[in-house]
Amino acid sequence: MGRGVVLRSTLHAVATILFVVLFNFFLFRVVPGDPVTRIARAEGLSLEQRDALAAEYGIDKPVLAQLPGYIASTLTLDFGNSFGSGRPVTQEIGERVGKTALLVGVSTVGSIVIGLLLGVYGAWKRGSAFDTGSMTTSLLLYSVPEGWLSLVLLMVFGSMLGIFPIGGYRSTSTLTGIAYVTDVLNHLVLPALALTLAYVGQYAIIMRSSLLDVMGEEYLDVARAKGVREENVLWRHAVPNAVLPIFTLIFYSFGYIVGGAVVVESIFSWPGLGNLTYKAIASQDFPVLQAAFLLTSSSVIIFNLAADLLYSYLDPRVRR
Amino acid sequence: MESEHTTGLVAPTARKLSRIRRRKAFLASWRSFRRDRIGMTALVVLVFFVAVALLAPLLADASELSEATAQGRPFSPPSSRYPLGTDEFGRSVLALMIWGSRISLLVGLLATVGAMTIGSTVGIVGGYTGGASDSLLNAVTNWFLVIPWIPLAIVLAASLSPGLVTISLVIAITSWASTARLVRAQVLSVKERMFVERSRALGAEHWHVMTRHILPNVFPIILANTVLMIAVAILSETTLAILGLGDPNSISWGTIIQGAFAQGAITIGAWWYLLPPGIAIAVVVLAFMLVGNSLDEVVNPRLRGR
Amino acid sequence: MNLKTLGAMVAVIGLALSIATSATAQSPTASAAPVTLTVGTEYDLFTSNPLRVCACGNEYEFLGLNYNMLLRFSPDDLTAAPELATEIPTKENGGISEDGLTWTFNIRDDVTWHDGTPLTAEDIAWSFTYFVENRVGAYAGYLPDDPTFEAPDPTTLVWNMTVPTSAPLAPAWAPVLPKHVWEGFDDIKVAKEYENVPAVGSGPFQLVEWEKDQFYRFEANEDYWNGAPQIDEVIFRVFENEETKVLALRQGEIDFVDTVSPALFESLQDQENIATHRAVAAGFTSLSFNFGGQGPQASNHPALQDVVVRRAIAHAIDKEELVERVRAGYATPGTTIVAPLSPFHYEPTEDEFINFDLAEANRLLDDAGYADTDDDGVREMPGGGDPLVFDTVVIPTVESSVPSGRVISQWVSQIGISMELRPVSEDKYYDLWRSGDFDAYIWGWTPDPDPNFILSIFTTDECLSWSDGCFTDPEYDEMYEAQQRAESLEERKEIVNEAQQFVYDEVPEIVLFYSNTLQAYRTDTFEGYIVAPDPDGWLLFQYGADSYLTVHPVSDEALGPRGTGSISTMVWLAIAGGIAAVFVALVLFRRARIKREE
Repeated sequence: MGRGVVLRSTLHAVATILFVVLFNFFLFRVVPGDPVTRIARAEGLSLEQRDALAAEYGIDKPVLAQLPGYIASTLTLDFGNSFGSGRPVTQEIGERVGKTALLVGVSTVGSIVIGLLLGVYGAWKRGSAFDTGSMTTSLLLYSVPEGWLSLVLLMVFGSMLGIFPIGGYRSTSTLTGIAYVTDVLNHLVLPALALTLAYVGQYAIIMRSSLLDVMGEEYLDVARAKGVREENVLWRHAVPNAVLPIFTLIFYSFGYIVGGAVVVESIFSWPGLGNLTYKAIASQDFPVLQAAFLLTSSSVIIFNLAADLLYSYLDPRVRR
Repeated sequence: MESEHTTGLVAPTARKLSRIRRRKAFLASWRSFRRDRIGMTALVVLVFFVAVALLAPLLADASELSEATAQGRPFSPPSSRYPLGTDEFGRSVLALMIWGSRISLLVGLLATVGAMTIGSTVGIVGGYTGGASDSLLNAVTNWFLVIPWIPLAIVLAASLSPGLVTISLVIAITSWASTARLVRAQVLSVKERMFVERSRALGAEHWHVMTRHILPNVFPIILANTVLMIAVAILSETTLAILGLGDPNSISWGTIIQGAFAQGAITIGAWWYLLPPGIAIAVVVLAFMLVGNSLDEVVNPRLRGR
Repeated sequence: MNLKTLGAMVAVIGLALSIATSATAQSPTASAAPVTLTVGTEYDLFTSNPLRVCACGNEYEFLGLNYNMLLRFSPDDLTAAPELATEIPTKENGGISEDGLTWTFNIRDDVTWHDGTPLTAEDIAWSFTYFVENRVGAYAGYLPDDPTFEAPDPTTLVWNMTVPTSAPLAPAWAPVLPKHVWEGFDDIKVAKEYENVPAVGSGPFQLVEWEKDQFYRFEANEDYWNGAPQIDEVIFRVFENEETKVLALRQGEIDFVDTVSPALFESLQDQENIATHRAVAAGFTSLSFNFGGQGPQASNHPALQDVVVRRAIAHAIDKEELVERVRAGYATPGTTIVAPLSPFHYEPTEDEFINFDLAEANRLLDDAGYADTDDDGVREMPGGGDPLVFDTVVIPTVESSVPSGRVISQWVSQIGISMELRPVSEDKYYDLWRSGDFDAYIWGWTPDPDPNFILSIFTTDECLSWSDGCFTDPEYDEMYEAQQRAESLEERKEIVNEAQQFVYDEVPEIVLFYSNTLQAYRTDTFEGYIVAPDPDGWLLFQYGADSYLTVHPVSDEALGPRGTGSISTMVWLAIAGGIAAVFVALVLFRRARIKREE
């Protein structure tokens, strides 16, 4: 793989990130009102106190004048303090990222693994009852709004059966070790189930069509003629080649993990990044928003870059 | 095989020839689409829902939506009088569903038209012009692609007054980028084809090339993509409605779900209030996806045979 | 691979499982589990630092549990009652000087801070001085007119005023902070960054843990001077929506929910082991008018400057019907700005009462010359000017705002006024409020029991601060000052009544209704909630920590923190082990098959 490709792709990714930084600045200032008015009205600040607060937040200057400071501090990774809690933004986000990564990460892995397996068996037993059944289910699940799916799960498991906790990521007792892990696991089930079900169909469908594409290829017949077992033909030859084209898609999904699932986190009171972003928008907490958006976008960009580079590395046809 | 009779005295013009060619292509596509049973079934389903939306005033009297004059007992399960039970005001959930189809489909359509227009324009202009403006447009497209859409939607919705147009606009703005990327790729590939070169060599203007050559070749992709976009738009409207960003003055399937949640349908166990809108959305979205998929296969014969 | 190895693998798995299960066999709840009251709420703490408190989250509940005040709100009628001060100063008992400028409080000598240090008058003097000097927004308003404070000895606090006021009797709603914890900061900016968990205070409970957006936990203060609580902990659990909050109550995960919507409240009636409570709130929903003066963008309609128009609108609102439609009956029709819950509430007389009378409304407008000259159903200004179309802002996220707007606009259309509803987000609302770009809006207030605050919002000075629409009237401003300077409670009550009458008659805003606060709790876990203030008050989230001191478990068995409906560790391990075993078996089976075929 040529050095030129790597360099160019990386530069492109960096340029995109910088563009994101720039664009984000203007995005939040599009929203009407400002964080100071809200706080001033809530706390009954006098006009001079409000002006002092605005100066402290750095929003008293005209918009364009704030830009250089913003760019400088972003590039040095100084995201400042949250307007809401007053704590460093890195702390606020740091506390949340792990929880979102856990929820969305587990769900993504789950839907990929299950989806791929379903797709492989569907393609292998093409036309069978299993194939039709799993395809229909996959399509249906993919068409269902995930917010609604969460509510249904909540109704069935939370209300009617009473099996899993209603919300949050842990219970209020102080637990350690395995008990803590179990506690989080219990709270993870419903939201993760909602997300997994919502996306498993997507992977099943694309895996199936990719594998069908591959299954008619000549080199498989060659392998069969050589006496390779059907199973190995499938798993050692067909599947790897089928995974390759959708590999980038799978990799992209990992990039979206940090973006979180705002709706699911909201319904299940899961204290993740999506939830933090949702609240920060309501209170116009610029520092938090700027950092959160940057983090999510960068994650997507970086994973895309990694996917593209890895793909060209792995695809035997693209070897230089 | 169709044939066009001429009088023999006047030779068919270039324009007429291209029209003939295009009509043949369309009929061939329609025939192959019709042969696709799944696609046709899905299309029938869509027609059914659109019919329900259009005929709503006939199917359920508008007065059934009034909170003040509702007859039924609040939160009662399905019965012969109320096949889908009642909501918190005692209104028939079936009536809500029938009227809700209008807004759900309308927003889906409006948002898609918006997204398609923006996306196609950006994709075509960028792909065709190339150079600095393409780079700029590409950068903007990329930004919209990597930004998480729900927070962006919330930010936008906060700047505008809640309403139908706002929601459609917000969804359009958060979803045009994928179309732009698709269209741009297609334009780039078309640009490289010979006849464009020939056309330019013959001295054709940019506008002529864009409309006569680029657009027709890009259009099928846009069409198939459009249908899929409607499905996405309907799902997006539902998500935004559940988050409380819907139009407070109208009823859509998404706002029914949100209402059911907010009124305690889960705690009470009023499944008849929560399940129908979700199922309806799933069916409609699925139908759109299948139709879109079939259209895709028609446009791209390579995909056939699954 | 043969059977021997297979057997060995199974043995290893089995061993691992049993080790793991036995490791978790001793559950963490084996030893003395704390008795915990779990309260469900949608409001997290905005801050745990008393200097940053606003009414944004549940801070006031935090202050009430963690700290004490100089004088508290009496649980009976919300007037001032002793807390850290042993009695109310009066002129008779020598607590107030002849000129009314010096108040002397006798302070308890048996109070200790959570860290064991004794609390003295010095802490109070220091705290109040700090609030005044640093203009701490939430508290400085209760310490008006530049007072100074002294503590000549550990049990005496002196409040020196520059003008005689009854501010201490409001009572001054400011927590007393430990001087030894807070005096070490360089300036208030640094002080505001202090995390303050655990929060050292003198109250019956202490904030010891705060997991943002999840819960905040208070531990009982066993040495509390007013008696130790009968529970060990209070945990406030944060929910993102009230649906899941109510569901958690139903499932037994929590013991109490702070407030629910009418619909959910109804759904909780006749539920096993759940009781509901309806409290008259201190707050109200109101329709506020804009009087302009905010700045160049103010766009208030001239007709609203005429009190006749405002009164006509007031006559066109059927408040009883409104309550039924908008709150399903769970509210009280509104009258004056000081809520019925307050001892200062004034109920208008029959003559003063603005009743629902469309004919009267029409007559008022007719007589004043607002005729509908072009017959389009909407009146115009006298002489045929601008039509009476009012741009009315409503906010979908504010409870009752949009539904009230809809119903009211239907009524006023019958008197020839068009109220055009403009739903906007909260952010947009602040924008519009600041610039004055509206004619009216529907929101509301939750004022203190003491009327000083709610009266202040109609003064000229509060324009662009607390004022809704920059209403201004010098006569009212004088009344406001006078009630602050009143020398006796009776005198103050008189002036406050006059002020309420003034606002009621002049209608700068229409008090639509006082919403009920709807609460619910489990009857099978804790009992002993008291209603404060009696009889219309709340069971929790009161003006003080009353219920928290009387609440106790229903039965003797210890109730630990909740988290029902879960799968135990053993089952999880069994599932994991099962999956692993199946996987291993498949691999082994496949290998064996291959071996056989070769």
